[in-house]
Amino acid sequence: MTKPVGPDELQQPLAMDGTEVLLAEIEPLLNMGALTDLLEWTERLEQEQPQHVDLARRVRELIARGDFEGVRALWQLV
Amino acid sequence: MTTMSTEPISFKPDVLQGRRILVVEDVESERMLLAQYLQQQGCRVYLASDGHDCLRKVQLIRPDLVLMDVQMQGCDGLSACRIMQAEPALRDIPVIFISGAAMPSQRVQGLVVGAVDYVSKPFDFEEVRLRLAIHLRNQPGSEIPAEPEAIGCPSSLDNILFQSARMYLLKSLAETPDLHELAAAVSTNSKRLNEAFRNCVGMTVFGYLREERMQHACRLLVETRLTVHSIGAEVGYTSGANFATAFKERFGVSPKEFRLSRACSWSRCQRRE
Repeated sequence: MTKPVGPDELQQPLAMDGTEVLLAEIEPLLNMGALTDLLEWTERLEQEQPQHVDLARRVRELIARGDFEGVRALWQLV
Repeated sequence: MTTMSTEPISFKPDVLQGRRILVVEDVESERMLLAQYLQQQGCRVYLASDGHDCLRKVQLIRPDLVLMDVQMQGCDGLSACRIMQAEPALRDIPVIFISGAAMPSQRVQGLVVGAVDYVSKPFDFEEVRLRLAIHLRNQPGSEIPAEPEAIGCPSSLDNILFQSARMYLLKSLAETPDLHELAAAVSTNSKRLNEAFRNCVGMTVFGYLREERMQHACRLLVETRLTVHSIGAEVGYTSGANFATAFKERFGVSPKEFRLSRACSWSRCQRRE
C-alpha cells in the first residue's frame, strides 16, 4: 500500500538542460504514433539545439517514412 | 416537380485544420500515404497498426475521428469498432472505414458495428477529404476533455502524458506507483510529467492523485457502509487517522461528519418526495 504522499517539492528531480528535455519528449510521441507532433519535435530540436541539426534531419526522414523503429534504433546510438 | 441541386457541398476551408485523426492501417505504405495526405490538409495525425493498437491509442488521444482499415491481422477494424461502441467514453468518436471489400453486405456490416461512413479502396483523396469534412463539420473544436478542468494551453504531448498517466493511477488508488515509476511507465521523466499535469489540470501528479483519492473517498462515504478505516485503505492511506486528517484538511470536516451531513440531506430529500 502506498504511504500518504509528502510535499510535492520533494518529488522534483534534478533540473535538465534543453537537450535532455527535448530528448525526453520523443519516446511518448513514438509510443503514441503522434506523427505531426514528431515532425514538430524535429523542427524544435533543429531550432533550439542547432548542434543537433543533423540528428533532427535524420529523425525527420525516418518519421516521414513511418519508420519509428528506425528512430528508436538511431536513439540507441545517440 | 422537384429539381435536384447540382451545387457542390461547400465546407469551411479550415474544417480539417488541427483535427486529430487516428489512422489505423496494417499496411505501412497505405498508412503513410493517408497520413501524408491528411498532414497536408492540416490534420494532426496519429498512427496505429491494428485494432489493438487503435484501442490503446484512442483512449489516450481521444481523436476527433478514426480512419480505419477493416481487414487487419490480429484485431480487425470491425472488432475494434465494436469495442469502441461498447465504451461510453469512446462511442462518440466517429469511425470511417476504409476497405477493399466492395460487396454491399460488407459495407453494411461496417455500419452495423457503429462506423459512420465507408470509403472503398482504391480510394480517391478528394473523397476521403470530403467524407472527413462531412463528419467533422458539426463537431466543436478539437479540445481534449481534461479532468477535472482544463487549465492553460496544454500541448498535444501534455494531453498524451496526462491521459496515459491518469489511466495508470486510476487502475488502483490503493496501490499507485511512485512518481519515477509512473513517469517511466509513460516513457517520460518526473519533471516533464508534472509539467504535463500542471498544464492539463493545474496541479502536480500527486496533487491530482490526492484529489482523485479524496473524491473517491467521498463517493465511498456516501454510497457504502464501509468504515472510515476501510475507505482510507481503499484510497491508499496506511491508517484511518492519516486519512481522516487529510480528509479534514481538504474538506474542513471529518469523514464521519461528511457522511452524517450527506445522510441527513439524503433523508431530507427522501421525505420531500
